[in-house]
Amino acid sequence: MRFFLLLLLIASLATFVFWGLPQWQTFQELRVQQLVLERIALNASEVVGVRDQLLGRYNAVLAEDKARLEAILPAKAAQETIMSLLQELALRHGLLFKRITIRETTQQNLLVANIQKKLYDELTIEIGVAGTYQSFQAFLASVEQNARLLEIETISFSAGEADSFEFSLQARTRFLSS
Amino acid sequence: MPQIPSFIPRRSLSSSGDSLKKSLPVGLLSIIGGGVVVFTLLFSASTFALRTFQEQQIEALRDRLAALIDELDLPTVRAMDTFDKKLALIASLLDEHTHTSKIFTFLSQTTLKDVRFSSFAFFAKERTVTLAAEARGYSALIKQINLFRAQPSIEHIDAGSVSLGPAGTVRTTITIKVAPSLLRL
Repeated sequence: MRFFLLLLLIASLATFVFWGLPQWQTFQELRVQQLVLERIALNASEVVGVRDQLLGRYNAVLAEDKARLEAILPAKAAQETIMSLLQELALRHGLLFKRITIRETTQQNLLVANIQKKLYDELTIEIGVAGTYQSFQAFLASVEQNARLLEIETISFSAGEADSFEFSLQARTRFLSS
Repeated sequence: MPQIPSFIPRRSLSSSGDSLKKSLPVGLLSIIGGGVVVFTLLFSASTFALRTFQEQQIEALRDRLAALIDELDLPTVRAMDTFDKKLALIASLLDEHTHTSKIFTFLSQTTLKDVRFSSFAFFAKERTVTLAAEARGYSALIKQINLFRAQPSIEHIDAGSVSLGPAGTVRTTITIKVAPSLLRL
């Protein structure tokens, strides 16, 4: 009887040390995990609430406004669109469209230097047109007011014998990086 | 047969000890031992139950989180995020957008009748305009330079060497640095 009691005591202590205490430690760890998960769930609920608000505002943006934004900063380079646009503007203002070169610029832009991902790429456009000073002025104003943003970098021209000038213009435009 | 007196006990003495032990109630050691056994078993059983309950709770929380993530609709969130970045980018691009044609308006308003420019070169990065100027005499040229200098839209002006042209005109190269405000709407 005494031996049996001693054996039971040893077995109980062994159960306590090798099974009970690890269970308790696991329970404590799970409790911490539960608290973390509860916090995450709470934050996720708040995020869902904020998302709903933002979605309401996002859906409130008119389709035509989205189209204008797309025109300002398109998702594609669309060189052919730029080419036809500039040609059309030159013709509209009575200029002779003489040459155009469009190339993609790979340089890192400073504007987004602090943002990890580069958000846009650039195209450099060089064009040569001929016509009167007034026509060029009107053409330039149209280019600046165009929906697709074109930033003029350089302009140069010299007076010739007649009233016609040869204008050289370099500009750049951006499109969203894929 | 008569018993012979002897010092050697005829029965084992241990039997008298057993009878003493049996006479005692449950020993203190047994009580403590029993208590320890009960405590350890209860403790182990409760921690197991708690652990199981905790695991169920965590499982339920994980399910709730998964449902919340589904509800969040990550592709829509990504689309909104891209749209937001695009808006911020467009705002900064519009802020930077320059209107170079304003330079021509400015020059037509500030050029004297006795002066003409035969060439024009504009560099947006430096905000400089280089003009080949031809004036009807030195005084007209000086007036023109002074008129440019008086303009708040011009930050800096440089005039190159002056040379005589045909029919008494004077020629020079003028480089002006325009203020950023001149290029903005």
